[in-house]
Formats: sequence, C-alpha cells, structure tokens
Amino acid sequence: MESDTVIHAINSYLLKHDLRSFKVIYHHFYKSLCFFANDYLSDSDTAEDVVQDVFTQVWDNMPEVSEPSKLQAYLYAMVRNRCLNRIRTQQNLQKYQTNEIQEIAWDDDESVRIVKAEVLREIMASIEKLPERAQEVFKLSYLTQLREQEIADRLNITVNSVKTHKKRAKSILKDELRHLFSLISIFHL
Amino acid sequence: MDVFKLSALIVKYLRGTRDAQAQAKLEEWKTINSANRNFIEDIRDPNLLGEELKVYNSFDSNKAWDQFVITNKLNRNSSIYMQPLLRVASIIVLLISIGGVLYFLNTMREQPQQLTESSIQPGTSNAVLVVDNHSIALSDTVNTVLEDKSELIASISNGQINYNNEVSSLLEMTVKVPIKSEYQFVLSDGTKVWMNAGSTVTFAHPFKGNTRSIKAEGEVYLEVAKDATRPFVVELPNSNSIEVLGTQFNVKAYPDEHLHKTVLVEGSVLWKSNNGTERLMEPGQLLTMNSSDNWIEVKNVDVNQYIAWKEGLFVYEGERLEDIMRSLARWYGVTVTYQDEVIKDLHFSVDVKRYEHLNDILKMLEVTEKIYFTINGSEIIVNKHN
Repeated sequence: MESDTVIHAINSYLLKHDLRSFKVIYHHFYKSLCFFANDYLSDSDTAEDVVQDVFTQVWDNMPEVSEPSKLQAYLYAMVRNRCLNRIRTQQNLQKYQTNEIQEIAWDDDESVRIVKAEVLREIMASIEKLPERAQEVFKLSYLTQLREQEIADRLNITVNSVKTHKKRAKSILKDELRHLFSLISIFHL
Repeated sequence: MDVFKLSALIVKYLRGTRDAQAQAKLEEWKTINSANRNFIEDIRDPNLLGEELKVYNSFDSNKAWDQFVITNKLNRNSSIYMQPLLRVASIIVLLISIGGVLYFLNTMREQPQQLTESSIQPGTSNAVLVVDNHSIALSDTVNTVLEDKSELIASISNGQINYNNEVSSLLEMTVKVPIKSEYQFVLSDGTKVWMNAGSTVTFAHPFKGNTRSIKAEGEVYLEVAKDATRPFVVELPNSNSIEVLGTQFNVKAYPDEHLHKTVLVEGSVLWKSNNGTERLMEPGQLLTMNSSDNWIEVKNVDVNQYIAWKEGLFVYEGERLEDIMRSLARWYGVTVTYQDEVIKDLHFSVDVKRYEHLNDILKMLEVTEKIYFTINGSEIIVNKHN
C-alpha cells in the first residue's frame, strides 16, 4: 500500500473500531473501489451503491484481518463479488456463494482492473498535491477539457495567468510522475 | 505476484524511482498477457489516461461519506468515539474474570511447595499509553496513530512513540508500565526514558512553555537531552522535584515505599523537596529521602548498583531483604509474605540477570542458609531457618 497514513488508520481501526480511522480508510479507497466496480457494471450509480454497501458491511462487522494489506484485498473481493452477483441477478443466474475472507484469488482481467484502480488513485493524489490554483487550472484543462479562454473566464483570471498556472502544474507533475509525464509531455497543455 | 504490491511497484516506477528489481518485475508482468501490456501503454497515452482519470474523479467520496454517516446514524463527534472505551472496559472485565477463575483453580490445586520447578517467569517489555482516557498498548506489534480533531499528534510503531512536533494543541500523555514489565521510550525533546516495573510517567506534548516538565512515579532512569534554554524538571510524588540541565540519573520513588532514592550518574541536578529544602547533587551521589518525615541523606555510592536494572541486572550489595524482595515482586508479579518480621531486616547481596526465572534467584538467596522460600501460586513465603 502506498500511504503510511492509511496503514496507520487501518491498524488503529482494527484496534479501536473508531469512526475517525474508518473515515481515512473510506476516503482512501472510495474512488478506486467505485472505479473498479464501474469496470464490471458500466453504471456509475450502481457502482457507488455497491461500494457504499461494502463499507457499511465492513463497518458493521469488521473482518478479522491479520495485516493492513489484507483489508485492501478484502474490500476489492467484496466489491467484485457483489458486482458479479448483480450481473448474475440480471441474467437470472444463481448467485455466487463466496467466502470472502478465504483465499482471495484474481484472474488476469481482474488483476489489471485492480492495478488500474490503484494506480489512478496515486496519479490523482499527485494532482491533488498541486498548489490550489494550479490544480484547478490543470483539472479544468486536462479533465474537463476546457480551452484556456474558458478557464480564464470561469476562474476570473487572465489567459496569461492560466498559462502560468499550467506551466507550474506541468513542471511539478513532471517531477512527481517522472516516467509518466516524460512520455506525454507533448499533450495539449 | 500480489496485485497490490505490483500496483505499488508501478506507481514507484511512474514516480521515477530508480529500482532495477522493480523494473525487472514490471517487465516480467508486461509479458504475461496482452491486457497487462495494454495497460502500461494506455496509461502513457495522455488522452486515454485523461478519460480514465475523469471517470475516477467523477466519484465523490465526500458526498458518499456524508451519506454513509447519515444512513448508519453515526454521530460524528460523540457516540462512536465512546466505543473504544467500552471495548477496553469489556476486555478488562474479561481479564478480571479469567484471573479470578485462574486464581480459584490455583488455590484448589496447588498445595504449598518447596522450591523445585522453575516456573515463575520474569517480566517483559510492555507498557500502556493513556491519552484522553484512551489506552493504547505499546507493544512491538501495535501500529496506530493518535489524532485530535483530525490533527496527527503522534504515531506508534513497533512500540515506540513518534511525535508530530508541529501540533497546534497540547495533550497530556501518560505511559504506564505495569508489574512484571519494563519499557524504554523517547520524549519529544530526545530525552531517553527507561521505566521499571510498576512505574508511571506523565508529560504534555508538546511541552508547556519553556520548561520540559514530566511527572514520574516508581523507578525511572533518565538520559536528559541537552537544551540550555529549556530546563528539564521531574516532578516526584509528595511534590518533591528534580531540576535538570542535561544529565543522566536514576530516580526511585514508589508510593508504597518510604525511601525515595535519586542517583546521579552524570551532569548535575538540583533536588527540591516540598518544604523548600534544596540539594545540588554531584555525579556519584545518592540522595535518599524518607517520605514519612522528609529526612534527607546524601552520600557517595557506586552508581552501577542503582542503575543495573536498566542493563538487565539485579545488583544489591548488603541490602535489606524486604527491599530486595519488593523489586523482585514488581518484576516477577508476585506477592511476598514473611513468616517472621525479623527476616525483613536481614541483609543480602545479589548480582543476577533480570531475565532468569525467579526460582533461580530465590535458590541463590537460600544458599546462605539463613532463609528458605515456599511458593504458593504467585505468593512467595519467606521462612527463617532454625
């Protein structure tokens, strides 16, 4: 797992079952798990329902996990099983009977899906570490795909400021994600 | 390879960390199937990555969390935070009842026996950190964080406290070392603290104002970090105190003992009693205070005897048996009774490792043929040879 804060939170949660630690775990995994569920369901609302359901179950009935990383695998396994069962319900097939805490195995497709969800979180984390304005500009440009003039209008700044913030974001990210951005430095920034 | 380890590896690679082994594992993973290869290629395509990030970021964890709290009726501030306390309470009740059953079984089965089996184990490294009514075990296996109003106060890993020195509010922390235990830790200023069985140290984090002040009870050895701008003060039971500027010393002040002893190993300390008496101590000196009548004596001693416990030894030279047995009782978690009061004032010399079984130490005391011991469960009875 990437972040020490999450490992601390999981340990603390296993010990105290407190809401504060659970919140850290929740925020850390929520988007990744939704993204993962959405890969199965191709429906973001249902994906969010599944993830909320999984967190509710974990909160009500904390699994006995021996180490922090086991909880991570357990969360993904629960999401996967619920997604598969939803698909099977739609197809009128019998539901899986799964024991989630048993040996958790992933097939090749599932492995890639998990890796993707996990890697996206860390890339996003780097973007979210950018200074506030640079981050806003970067997100509007790269994710919302607005043009410079549109960004300037929305944030009530000049086009030149937009350019400056973009440059700043790009240079920070180049440093943070060296191997990612060296290959895509030509993208439309 | 575990997918989560692999994910961490890929992130490491993207961040540009040079790691040949990681690189090799990644290359190997790419060759397993086309899906893996495509993933690595897609993630480098700015347009595809942008699309994926857009989906990822469309999920709103703040909104979802608020919903989670409402649906599960979790009051943010109070009710859930009480839960750890309840859990601690139930564990204690359980232990007490198990203890009760064990005690009952012991008294049923065990008849007083002579010293034959070496059954009583020594203490171990063990302590509890108490913050704001919450208790956290400081054992090797516990990793946790302390937060106050979602601000990180300290983290605990491998039984050690790592302080966040940037905290905005002040929090009182207490480290308690139970009977049959010892513990060593570091304060936020770098001062090293060794605690013997049955001791308590309380301090504020961060320290209040310009004084590094701690409260100590029991037996504590301190290696105080030098900081001329902030004097270090140890408050002892009965409002006595020791003022320090960077030094090493041992203080033994158990509430159940009349004699409180301070031994200075290095540097200098100013010992202050509750009635205003002050003594400037020099290295090699032992200050003994009788807490019942405030009588004070300072003399030169071999300090090693007094700090041996922290080196894993019991060293007593011509000490009263009752004093020796008190230390043993705290370290081995036993109670001691005397067949005859006279025995308490017999003098003995002992030099043994602290990690031996109690029975081995008792046998050494028996060699003198002045006394012999009988063991009844965790009760040691000292008998006089006729």
